[in-house]
Order: sequence, then C-alpha cells, then structure tokens
Amino acid sequence: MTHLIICVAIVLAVLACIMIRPGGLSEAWVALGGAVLLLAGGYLSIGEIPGILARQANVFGFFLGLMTIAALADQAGVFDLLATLIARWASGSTFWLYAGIFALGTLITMFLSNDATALILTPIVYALVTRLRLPVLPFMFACTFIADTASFLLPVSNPTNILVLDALGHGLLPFLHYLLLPALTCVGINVAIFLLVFRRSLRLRYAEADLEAIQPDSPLRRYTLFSLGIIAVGYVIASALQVSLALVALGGGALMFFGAMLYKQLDWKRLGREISWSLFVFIAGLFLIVQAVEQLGILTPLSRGIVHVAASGSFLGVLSVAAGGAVGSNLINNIPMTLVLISAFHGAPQVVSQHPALIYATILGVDLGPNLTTVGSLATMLWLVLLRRKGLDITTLDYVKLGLLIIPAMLIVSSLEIWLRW
Amino acid sequence: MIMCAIGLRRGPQLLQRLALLRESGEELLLVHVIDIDPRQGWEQSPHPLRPGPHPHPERNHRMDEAEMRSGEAILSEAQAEAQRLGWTASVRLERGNPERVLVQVAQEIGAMLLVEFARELPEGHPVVGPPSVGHTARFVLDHAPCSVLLLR
Repeated sequence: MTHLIICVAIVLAVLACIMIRPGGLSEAWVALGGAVLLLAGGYLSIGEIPGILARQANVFGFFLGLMTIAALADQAGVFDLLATLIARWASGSTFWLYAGIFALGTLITMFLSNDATALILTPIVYALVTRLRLPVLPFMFACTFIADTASFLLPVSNPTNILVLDALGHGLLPFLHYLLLPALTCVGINVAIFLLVFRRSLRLRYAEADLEAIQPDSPLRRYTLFSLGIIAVGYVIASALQVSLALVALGGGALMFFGAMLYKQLDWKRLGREISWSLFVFIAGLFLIVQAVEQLGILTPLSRGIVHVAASGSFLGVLSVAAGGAVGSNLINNIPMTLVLISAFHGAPQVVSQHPALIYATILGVDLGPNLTTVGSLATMLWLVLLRRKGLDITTLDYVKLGLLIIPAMLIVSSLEIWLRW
Repeated sequence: MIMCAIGLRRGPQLLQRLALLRESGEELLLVHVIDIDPRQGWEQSPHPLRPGPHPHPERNHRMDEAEMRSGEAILSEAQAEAQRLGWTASVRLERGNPERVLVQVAQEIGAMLLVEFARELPEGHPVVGPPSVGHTARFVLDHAPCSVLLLR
C-alpha cells in the first residue's frame, strides 16, 4: 500500500508542477524528473524503457515531421502570403477579414495542426491587424480559439488525436464518422458567437494601402505550396489506409527540407528553434509515467467508470466523458490528460471494440478543453480579463456567457451528435 | 502643455475638437501607447506543442516592427492634422499598459490638461451612463494628475 501511495504522490506532484510550473520550470524536465523518480522507486525498470519508447516511434516521428513542415512553410512565407491575400480579398471590410482569418485558421489547423495556427499564424495576424490599425484582441481570440475548435476535423489536426488513434488502432473513416459533423458544428458555433461578440469592432474599415506589398512570387514558395498539397493528400490517404502518419509527416518534412536546400533558403538555426525539442522529452517522460501507473492498476477505477458509462449507452455518459476530458486537459495539460485516458481505455478493451463513440468523445473533450472557461485555463482567464479591461464592450454577463457557454455549448451539441452515432 | 491621448483611429478628430483651446498658447504632446497586453497574453499562454517558454526572435521582430510602424503612422497623421489646425505639436510613442502609461506621462511632463476620447470605438455603445466610457478613459479620469477633457 505504501508503495502505491508513493507512486500516486509522485504522479500528483508531476501533474501539479506541470500545471503550476513553479519557478518557470519546463514541463519537460518535470515529466523527466517524475520518470526518474519512478525508476528510482522501482515502479519502472531500465530494461523496459527502450521498449516503451520504441512503441511510440510513430508518435515521435509524426510530431517531428509536423513541426518541420510548419516551420519550413513559415520560412517560405506561405502563411504571410495567405494572410495578405485574405486582407486584399476582404477589400477593406474588417468583417470579411475576420471571416477570412477564421477560414484560414481552420484550413491551417486541419492540415498542419492546431500548433501551427496558435503559434505561427497568430503573430502573422497580429502584425497584419496592427498595420491595419484594427483592434487586435478579436483577431487573436479568433486564431487561438479556432486552433482548438477546428482541431478534430482530421486526425492530423491535433497531435492528441494521433496519440489516441495510434494507441487504440483506429483510422480515418471511424474518425470522420463520429467527429466530422461535431467538428463542423463547433467551428460554426465559434465563428457565429465571435462575430456577434465582436460585431462593433468588425464594422470598421481598413485602408488597403496599409497592407504590405505581397512579396514577389518565388520558386521556393511555389514549391512549398505544391508540397503542402501533396502532404495534405498524403495525410488523407494514409489515414484512410491506416498507414503510419509519421511516414507522411516525415516524408513531407523531408520534401520541404529538400526544396529549401535546393533554393538555398534554408535557415538552420531558425528551423532548430521552431522545433520544440523539449516536447520529445516531455512526451517520453509522460509515456514512462503513464506506463508505471498502468502497471500498478491505479487507473483501474477510471477504466471501470468508462465501462459503466459504455454499458449505460446514455447521452449523459458520453457528455461526461467529453466534459471530463475537457476539464482534465485544462487542469493538467491536454497531452498528459490524453495519455491518462488512453491508459484507462487500455483497461477496458471491450469498450474500444464495442463502443468506439466513447473514444471520440474523449478526443472531443481534450481537443476543445484548452479553450475552456475561467474556472480552468489560465490562458483563457488571461484573455477574458484582457477583454474586459480593454473595454471591448462586453458586460460582465457577456464575458461570463462567452467563457462559460461557448465551450460547454460546443461540448453538449457535439456530444449529442456523437451519441446519435452510438 | 496639453497632452492628447491618440488612439488607433481618431487622432485627427480629437484635434479638430480642440479648436476652442488654441488661443491658450499651449503646445500639444500627442501620445500613442502601444498596448502590450494582448501580445503578452499570447506569449504567456500555453501552446499545443510547446511546453514551457518559447521565445522566437523572428516572430517577435515581425510584431515589433508592425507595432512601431503603426504607432508612427498614427502619430504622424495626428501631428499633420495638428499642424494644419495651427498647433505646435510634438509626438511620443510609448509601449505598455495604455491607461497607466498615459497617467505616468501626464505626471512626468506636468500636463495642465489631458484630452481623450471616452471610447476608442463609440459606435453601438450607449452615449450616456457608465458603459459610455471605456476602461482606459475611466482609469485616466480617476488617476490623472491634471484636468481631463473627455470627448465623446
């Protein structure tokens, strides 16, 4: 029993440190430290570590390829070009610019993941909107929210989707069967609500003369756009045939890398900075921690809970799994929450085979979760406080509505759509 | 010295409303504050695949440059209007939390009057009552070390 309690204490400490980041400590070192403590405590053996990590080679490869593709597309100026083209297309209408940014964010999230939208597109939109002398907050909200609400359109749209599908052996068709309609619904709800909340700012017009000139067409940019098209098709085909997505991602990254070398525009240092190397340490540490937890059976109650929910077949059961994933991913970060839920599903194999809807409810929850309310995400709290302070004319009631209703509304409607496919 | 808080879009209109004060002989200091809060909020928020802090020189430079160019353009437009109306006007571009920076600058220069609009974007807001005054304007009204001329 003491053995079990110590393990639980280590895991809870790791999760707390991931959430709080004391002294700015990197989550990667926290996860690694937790794994080392579990190793020292005999919850893991050194001999099993290579096997645990080797089983996740597909995930590591996919993440590496994904980040390489997004970084090289950014270096080639693709995102800048697309954002400027949208601004020109909107012809001075801030409303249509906003709608266009939502569309662009959805497209980038769909094929290059929410990471590319949240991290690469956002500063580009920030700079664009600043030059146009428009209020920046609505646009930054648009980018960061759509990065999550569009992140279950395809398996590659969110790395946590890959974690789930890889672990539980599912492919594109069941993914689309359960999640395409909910994903489109969530995007629709997000866009509609934001257009309503920010309607005053969207009445403004901007001067097209304030737009930067579009950079002259370059062979590298054409090559990159062509490569992205191939990669997008490759993702869809690979997902449908259940071929490793890591192969497509790494192959796509290599294709774009070759192009950057060919046209002598590869910035090594920048590429190195764009790839989050600490992510691999973070995920490796988490995999080891979850393995130790799984071996001790700590997650058995959670597995039993999932079996019970599956047996009930109720809408509330589906909603509770989605909501639990959303709250959990908000509290402790969506990657460890996803791994915890995967582990729980491993303990309930009959659910995986007979009630796959619950797997997709999990994906729904962990993908939407980071946008949750003031009660959860620190980032969302910060945004809502900023909105209020900036006097973007949302009353107390409006910002509570924005925070508390938008994500729960998405969760309820999407869970219902998943349950209808039970 | 009369200090004018120049927002994103209505610098020229603010100056046109100051016609009555031109006989005072005071000079204008046109101040625009680049609001750093939205960007700091984004930089501090967790990102999907980026555990921990993630500085990025190229992106920072891109945003810095846009902020500076926009700020300079805003002040340049306002200064041109001020000169057209016969004022002697200097400009000052600052970064920070707008309401606090405006109060600090007013204190620093010993402004006799601070002029501001009640709201950056007045359309659709009530014209009277608490919601008619934005957060920045309200903070400045409450904390400015000098008289405040609030324009609607």
